[in-house]
Formats: sequence, structure tokens, C-alpha cells
Amino acid sequence: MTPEAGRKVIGSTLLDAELIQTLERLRLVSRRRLPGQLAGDRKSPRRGSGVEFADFREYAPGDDFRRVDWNLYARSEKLFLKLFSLDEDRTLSILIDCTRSMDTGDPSKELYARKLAAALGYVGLAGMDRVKLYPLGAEQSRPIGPLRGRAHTHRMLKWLDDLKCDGRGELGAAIQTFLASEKTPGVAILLSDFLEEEVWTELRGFGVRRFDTTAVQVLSPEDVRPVLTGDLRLLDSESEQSLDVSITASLIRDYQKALSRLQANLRDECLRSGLSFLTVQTDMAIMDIFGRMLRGRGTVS
Amino acid sequence: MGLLSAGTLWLLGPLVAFVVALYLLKTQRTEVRVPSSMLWRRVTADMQANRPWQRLRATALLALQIAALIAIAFAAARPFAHARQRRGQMIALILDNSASMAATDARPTRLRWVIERARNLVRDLGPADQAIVIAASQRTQVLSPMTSDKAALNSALGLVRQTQLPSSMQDAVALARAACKSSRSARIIIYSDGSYPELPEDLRAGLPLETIRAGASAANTAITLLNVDRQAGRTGAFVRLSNLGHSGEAAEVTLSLRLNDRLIDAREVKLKPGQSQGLPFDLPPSVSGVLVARITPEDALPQDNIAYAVIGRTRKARVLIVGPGNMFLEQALATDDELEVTKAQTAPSPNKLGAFDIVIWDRTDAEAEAPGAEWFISSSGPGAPAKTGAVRESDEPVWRPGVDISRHAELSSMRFAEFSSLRPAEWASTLAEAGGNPLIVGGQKNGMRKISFGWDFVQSDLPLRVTFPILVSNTVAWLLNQREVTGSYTPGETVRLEARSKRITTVTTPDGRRIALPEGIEDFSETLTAGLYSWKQGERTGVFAVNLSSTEQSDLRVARPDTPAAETAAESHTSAANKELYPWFVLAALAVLCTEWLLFHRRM
Repeated sequence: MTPEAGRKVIGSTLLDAELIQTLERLRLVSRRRLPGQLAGDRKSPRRGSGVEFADFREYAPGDDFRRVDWNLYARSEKLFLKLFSLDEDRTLSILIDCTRSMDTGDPSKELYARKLAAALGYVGLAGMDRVKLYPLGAEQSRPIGPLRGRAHTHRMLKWLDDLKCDGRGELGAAIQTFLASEKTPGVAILLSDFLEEEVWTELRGFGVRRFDTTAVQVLSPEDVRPVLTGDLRLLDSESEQSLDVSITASLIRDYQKALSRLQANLRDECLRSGLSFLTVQTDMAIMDIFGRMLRGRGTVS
Repeated sequence: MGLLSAGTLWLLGPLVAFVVALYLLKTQRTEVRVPSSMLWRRVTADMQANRPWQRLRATALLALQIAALIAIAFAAARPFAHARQRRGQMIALILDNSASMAATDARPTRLRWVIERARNLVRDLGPADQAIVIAASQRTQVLSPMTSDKAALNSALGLVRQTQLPSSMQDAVALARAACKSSRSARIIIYSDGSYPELPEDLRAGLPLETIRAGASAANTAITLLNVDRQAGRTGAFVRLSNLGHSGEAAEVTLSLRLNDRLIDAREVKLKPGQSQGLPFDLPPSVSGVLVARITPEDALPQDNIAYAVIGRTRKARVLIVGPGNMFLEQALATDDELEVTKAQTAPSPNKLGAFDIVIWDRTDAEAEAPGAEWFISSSGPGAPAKTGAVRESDEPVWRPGVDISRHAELSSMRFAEFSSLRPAEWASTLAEAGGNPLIVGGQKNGMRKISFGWDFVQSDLPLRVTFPILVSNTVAWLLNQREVTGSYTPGETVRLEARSKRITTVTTPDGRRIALPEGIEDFSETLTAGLYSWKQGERTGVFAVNLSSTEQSDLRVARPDTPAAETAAESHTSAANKELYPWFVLAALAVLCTEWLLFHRRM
């Protein structure tokens, strides 16, 4: 599909022609072989009826006699099965933090996350992966997918356009719900600002469940460098709790140190759990995210 | 320490309560929605970890605010400290601006030199010191009141003008003592060359009197007299030169005499120190104009190297004799070529009397007053200086001392049968008397001189005496006010311009200033500098000269030793005084508020 054609078909502001042109050249890469449900373009850790020889194993009662390597039996008088690698499809789960904290910043973190999800989803669809989108913590939106093939681009984008970040729930609980519902491990991309109490246990769940996960922290410039001054009453967008502060230069410095500590802890925890961690700012171009960061970390190629 | 306005402290309680109330009400905060308050809570939680210190810091802010309030309240209560304060002293600065202060032996002149010294003293005055500036010469001038305003004092010093007046310190010192009498630490500083007469003992007692000497006893040659005399048809000038130096070499000067800007004579004169020499000059008989005598080269006091004489016109004076005829008087008057005598048996009409410079009423009473001078001989009239009184028998006539017309006119041997005892008018005075009764009375009325003789010449042997023509000549000269012919005055002398009209008279001084006299006033007393003065009243004009002609002022010896007592200026006179401390409290309040501001912005 040409970019122009893509724009006509898509009819969404989340993707533009230039970005689509770039995304067309990308493919999702998983750092481990993941089992799929349908035959596809990706190598499966499971052995099956593929054309590429993978291994031998001794015959066990119940095995398909058609896979016995008779030449080997003639030489060793033992029954061995000839195993072939299985080409299966792959599941790309895009998890979008839909709590209210994402509905802040200029440009909005929620919009940026939807754009990023649209781009990643498009790469998955173009690569014939099974694409699922999960609104973490959303009150009204429901997950969508699996979607496969470019034909579902329009559906995916419409879902993303309709997505509302109105959740008050906790991110950790939403992740646990996702992990419980998703039986097949695949590629998971978690888009959140992570400005919540630590979700270490939930993040470890991705590793335990052998998801090839990339945690993307989406922050606005105001999150990094707050433009606040004077005596303020800070209202938490999710909990609606207030906090009285008198903004001073030293207080801003302390906040930035606290944010750095949070990011460092996230990065360490992800590393321990086998996750990739990435921080993006909403004033960065989506194309740069793919070009430099995701490609550099092996998430796409 | 005490408080001048302690009642203000009552406000402190409500104010502190107000500040505390404000503190409790806290700040009105702006609500801002943030994605998550998690990080902010962590940051503030860190501070909560230091909560005791935070609480302490918040308390410190409140304490600082209250401290500032207390400082301001105490400043308003005007605290003071008991202290010994240096009491300001009163200084009277008397600057001699007499003629001798124009001498150039101190640069640029003695007066300028002392003004600079006085400026230095004013500059060094303390904040509590006060001074008064007085210019002293024959006329005393207070140029500034007793003040501590240095600008006003400097301005007053700039107003001290050089005059050619004689020196006199008496009035100035009396004024200075009066100005300083309220102070126990006062002193009088006289800036002078010391040419003034000795001060009376009562003026020297009491207050410290210091003299700052100007100049250094310079030698000086001066014209101490220029006189033009006209007698018996001859006109002569007399110049007296004096070398007022008292040591050193003889002075060699050139005396030049110029009449109406034309050199008429010049002589070389050598004068030993202390020597004076008179030099007579013959002038043309009918000369008139301005005669200028000048000596060269210039010396330390240029003002006395030049003298002027204004020689009046040689118009003959017109004299009218009203009476039965007096051969002796007529002959005596005929000897003077400058007189044009007319005789009349009876008095002409009053209008015609104005044509005569002198009207002589000889044994004939006047019915109307002549506008000019009048001479009453055994007669009286409206303009007479005396009324005739009781007839007295002869007695020995005696001149009163200092009478002009008595020069070479001896009356004591005169014999006469009787005389009328004169009763002088208020404006007249007795010039001669006989047996204690006024015999000759004279005076000046409306600018014209009038004289009365109380006896009949014919009834005495006076006309037969040598004295008679001298007496007549002296009397006529007195009546004509001869000095007008050679109008020359000394500085400070009042000049009667005799403009004979009620119009405004304008006088132009030698330095070009124009002084308008009030309407009807003809006395001009601003003769402060030597030189030629001109006056104008309508179409009438005139010139008169003012000459220094003062041996005392030309004598440039510094008469009194320098008695600098500058050290006493620093002598501290202390007194108990309350020193207000409120500026320190205001400063403390500001410092506390600055500290509070800094602490507030470092908070959290």
C-alpha cells in the first residue's frame, strides 16, 4: 500500500503518510522464539510440520509414524522422529495506560501513546502478526484483537481514536488482568507514564510469562521540567487528592531527582525481569522513536 | 535609654496578633492539576522527614516577622540614648572690607585671601556649629544670620564686596557679640589687616577674639590729598604725596596731572619712607572739568594712586543786596571777580529772587523766601535761620568752634553798640555768640544755606577792620557752598546732589552700577568706592569725585599680630543630649525582613 493510498484508507490523524512509508519497511523482532496459534511467518519454538529440519528425538508411543526417520533406523535400529521447525504467527499485544494521568501534558501523553500504538500496531498488521490492543485501566473501552493483516488497519485506528483515558483504576491491577487473560506469550509493548506507585510485581509477571516486553514510559515535557511557581495546591488527576506546596527552585530540583530515581528503578526492575525499558517524551517525533530507539533496542528491524 | 513616644508601643500587641492571625490563615493557593502527585508527595515526604526542623523554620519565619514588627514599633516610639554630645559652637566671621584690604600683597587681594580662609573654616564646621558672616568697614553689614547652613554661609562670603571705606571694627564686633551671646562656646574671628582703630576694652573682654592677619606690611605711596582752590582769580591744584613705607628704599614715582583727559603736568618725585610732600600746580583761571592726579608705577594699593577733582563751571555768582545801601559791603563784594552784584532799595517780586544765587537782606526784612542762599544782616524773613530777639548791649563776640567762616576772620576785637539776640530756627545753629547770646546763626534749608548776622555793620567798626573783607568772602563762599566747585568727597561720605527738583535721580558709580534714588531724595550715600560718580535728574547732570585720601587706609602695615586660635575650634564643648536611636531600629527591621524573605524563598 502506498502512503497516499494508506492515508485515504486510514482517515485518521494518528498516522500520516510519511510515517506509514517508514513503517512499511519495519518488522517486529522478538528476542526469543514465541509460540503462535496459526501458521505464520515467524519461527515457533514448537516443532511441527515445517520444511526446515530442526532436530531428532526418540520415538514414543503415540507419535506419528510418518515422521520416523527410517534411514536412521536402518543404521541404528532405533526409532527416531525427525523434527521440523514450525512456522507460526506471533501475537503483538499493545497495552495502553488509560488512566487519567495520561490525559495531561502538552502534547497530551494519551494522544502520543495512541499515535505510538497506532504505529506499532501498523507494523504488526503489516507483518501479519496477531495484533491485540489493551486499554489498561480504562472504564469504557474494551480490548480489541486479535487483528491480522493491513485490512484491519482501519479498525485498529478507529478503536484508538475512540479510546478515552478516563480510568481511575490502578495500572498494576490492569496488568495482572491482562496477564491472566492472555494465555499465549508474545510481544508485549506497555505504554504508560508509570507515574504511580511501583508496579514491580506486575512487570515481573511479563518475564515469568515469557512475554517479549518493552516498557515505554511516555512523559510530557511538563513531567520532566515542571513549569510551576508560587504557592500551589496540586490536584492528583487520578486520586483527586490535593497537596499544598510552595514551589521553589530547590523543590523543582528535588522533584527532578525523584523522577530520575523512579526511572532508574524502573529500568533496573525491567532489566531483572527481562524487559526492555524506554523513556520517550511527547515532544519527540514518532519516527525518531522507531528510527533510533525501538530499532536500536531490537524491538523492530 | 528612654522612649520619646512610648505610647506607640501599645500598638505592638494588636499588630503582633494581626501578623499571627495572618500566619494562621496561611497563603491562598492556586489549584493546579498534575498527572500524579506521587513524586511531589515523595519530595515533600523527604521534607517531612525533617519535620522538626521544618516546623522550627516556619516558626523562625514567624519569629522574624514579629521581630521586625517589634523593631518598627520601637522605631516609632523614638528611643533615645543619654549621651554627652559635642555642643555646636557659634562663630562670628568678621571680614574687613575696608580700603586697605584691596592691597595686593596677599594674592589676589587681602580681601580675597581672607575670604578663602573663611571658606576653609566654614568647610570644616561641624554639623552642630553655627556661624554668622559680617562685613566690616565704616559700614557694618550682616551678610548671613547665625546658621549652620554651609551653602548659605558660602553664599554670604561671596557677597563680601571690596569698599574704599575706612576701617572700623567696633560695630561689627558689637554685633558679633550680640549674635553669640546665647552660646557658651562662641568665638569671634576677625579677618583683617588690622588697620582698624583699637577696640574698646569692653568689646575685647569675654568672648575669645581671634585675628587672622592678611597681608605683609607692604610699602605704599599714595596721593593723600588733591585740592583745587580758586582765589582772587587764580586757580591752583595742590597734591600731597606720601610714602607710607617705614623702611627700605625711597620711592620714586611720577605724578601726572590730567585735565579733561589732557596731560597738563608731570613731575618726578622721590619720597623717603614716611615722607610726605605737597606739590602745588597752577591751573588756567577759568578752568572747569575733571582733574585727575595719578602716580606711577603701580604699587600694592592701586586705589590710592589716583585722585579726582571736579572743578565747577566759572559762572559768576549773582548777588542781590536789598537795603538802604551799604558802601562797605558793596566794596567788599566788589573785590571778588566771581561775583555779579546787584543792588535794590526794596525787595523785588518773589519770582525775580530766583535769579540770584545769594540775596543779602541788609537791614531790610524779607517778605518772601528766596529760593537760593540768603544773608540776613540785622534783619529777618521767612527763610531766615533765626528770628531777631531782644536788643543786647555790646559784648565780646566769640566764634563757636569749627565754624567755616571764621577762618582768618577775627571778631573778638570788633566794637559795636548793640545787637539783636538771635533765636535760631530748628534747622540752624549758632556760629558765633556774644555774651552767651547768638550773634551769628547759620543753617541749611531745602539745600540752600542761610545765615543771619545779628548786628548792623554800619553801627560797628567791623567794616574798618582788615577782617571785614575776609569775613564777607568767607560768608559768601560758605553760602555758595564752595566745595561744589571742586566736588570731592571721601568714601562713605553722603553727597547732596542738589538737583533742585522732585524727579528721580540716577547715580552711576565708578564701577558702572546705576543707582536710582527715591523720588525727592538727593542725598547719596553709596560712595563706597573711589572714583568718579555721575548723576542725572531729567536734563540736569553732574559729576562728583570720591577719593580714598586716607593715610590710615593707605598705610599697609599689618598692625596686629596674627592670633590664630584654630585649635580652639576643635575644643570640644559637650553637654548632655538625647541621641535618637530610631534609624538603627529601622535598619534592624529592614535586615530582619530581608532575612525572613531569604529564608522564605529557601523554604521547602
